[in-house]
Amino acid sequence: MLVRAVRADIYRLLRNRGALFWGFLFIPLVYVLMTLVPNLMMRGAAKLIGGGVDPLAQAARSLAVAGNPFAHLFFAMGAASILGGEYRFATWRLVAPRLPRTSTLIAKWWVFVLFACASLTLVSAGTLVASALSVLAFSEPIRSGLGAGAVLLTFAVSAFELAAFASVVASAAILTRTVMGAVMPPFIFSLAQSMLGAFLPSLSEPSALLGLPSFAGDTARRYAIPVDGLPPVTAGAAAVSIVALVAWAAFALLVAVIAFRRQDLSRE
Amino acid sequence: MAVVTIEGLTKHYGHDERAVTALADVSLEVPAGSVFGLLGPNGAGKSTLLRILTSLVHPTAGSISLFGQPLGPGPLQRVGAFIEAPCFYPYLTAAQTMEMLAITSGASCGRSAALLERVGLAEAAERRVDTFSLGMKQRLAIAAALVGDPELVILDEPTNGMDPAGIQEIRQWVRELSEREGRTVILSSHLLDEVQRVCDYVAILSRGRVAAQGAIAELVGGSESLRIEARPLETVLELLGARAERQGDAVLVNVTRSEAPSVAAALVSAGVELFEMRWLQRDLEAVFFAKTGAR
Repeated sequence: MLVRAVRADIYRLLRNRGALFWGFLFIPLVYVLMTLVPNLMMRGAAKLIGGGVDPLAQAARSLAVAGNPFAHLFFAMGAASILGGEYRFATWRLVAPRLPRTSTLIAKWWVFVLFACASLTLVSAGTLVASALSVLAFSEPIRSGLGAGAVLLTFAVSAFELAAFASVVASAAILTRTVMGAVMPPFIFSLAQSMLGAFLPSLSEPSALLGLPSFAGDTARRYAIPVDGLPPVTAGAAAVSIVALVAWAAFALLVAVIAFRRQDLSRE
Repeated sequence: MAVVTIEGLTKHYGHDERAVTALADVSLEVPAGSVFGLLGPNGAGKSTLLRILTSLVHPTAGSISLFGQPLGPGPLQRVGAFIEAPCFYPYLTAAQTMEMLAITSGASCGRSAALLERVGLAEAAERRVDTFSLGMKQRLAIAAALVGDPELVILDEPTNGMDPAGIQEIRQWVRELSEREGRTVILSSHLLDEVQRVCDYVAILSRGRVAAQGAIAELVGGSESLRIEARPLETVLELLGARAERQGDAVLVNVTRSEAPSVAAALVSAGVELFEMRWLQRDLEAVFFAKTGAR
């Protein structure tokens, strides 16, 4: 029944053009444009001071978009259209009698994660193309200092971070029973984490903050791809970060499933 | 054999003294292959009962069995339902809606076109649902309920917002679902005439309770009375006692057909002038008002 639910949600999402564009295509589009334009404009100057381009590293670093609050707003729109759409259109009456509730909700969460991963792939592929274009345009040497393992780990961490975010959106959607309620609280949560990181830069390392998805994601990504000027992340901290992300994803989804199983769909 | 058995079903919304009782100790059985009417005024608990039957709402107490099994995802695979207003995904066409529901139900998509044809939406199959009129949405909701070839079809006020011709069509489909295809249909309505025309059995709900239930023929047939126009009415009332009730210029008498000749003879011998004696078949409306106390 889970497979049926996943197929039905994919079927719907592929035909919901608004949700597809704003939720999963807008961020790759904006990110690639914002990377490509400055890249092409400034690369000439950069070439004078030497260096070269590492397309793989750039593509991997672009996956940090999974922790960006601005991107979260749009990912939340995509997630809310999947997880909160049934409340908006009062269509639980069509779906809920045909499928077990747990399968239905997990399928929706899974479909979001699937499309979010596709979105991340577009972001990194777009960045790769942008880097390749600057290599071609300015005949720059290609640097290669990053292994495929680091790229895969970065991708996995970003996927876990978005999975945790999807679980938070799922809980918000079920508890508020509105699309707006599914979008705003997770976005504000994400923004608050970002502000905490900005206002308390000296606290960005303490292990207590690894419990927050945004910090955990950044930390684990920095383990895979070290950032110049910041101290290296230990394997232990990276492991704790990944566990924190998985725990957020599992716990918030569990809250959503329990609430949904108990919920009376008396209007929807 | 009963397709649906409900025992002691109760549903409260809210808690403590602010709780609203939507259903109170409802028990009923829906015979296989029948058209079962749920009749009641707005707020009687019809939709709550149907939402519980489709697992959209959880009961506070009581039990439900479908096809002899406790209510759950398994037996619900054999149920198709149209609950309250027809609601759809506005960005899908009618054909896409049917295909999506077929995927959800694990059914073949091949029947979708035939179902749309059956409800008169073949030409509108490629139109987005948000461009549909209410009547078209009602038709689509009926087609959607039939996706997955269900043995039990639940239709909640399916004729709302339809023109008279459409209402006739839907009533005919409901009868066909039962008579030709052998499906069991639960039809909720607040239209007495509709239930009497279409249903074999009825449960009358009033304020969350079952006020009466049974075969419509029995509920209605057992309630015929003798209407007597005579003069003086006072003598008629005096002679017949508690069995008689004045109604305008006539008297309604609760007697059996075998008692009628002796009633007539008694009245004539008492010097009453008889102008008319005729049997009145009480319809469902009379039963409904008598059982619910509504006016």
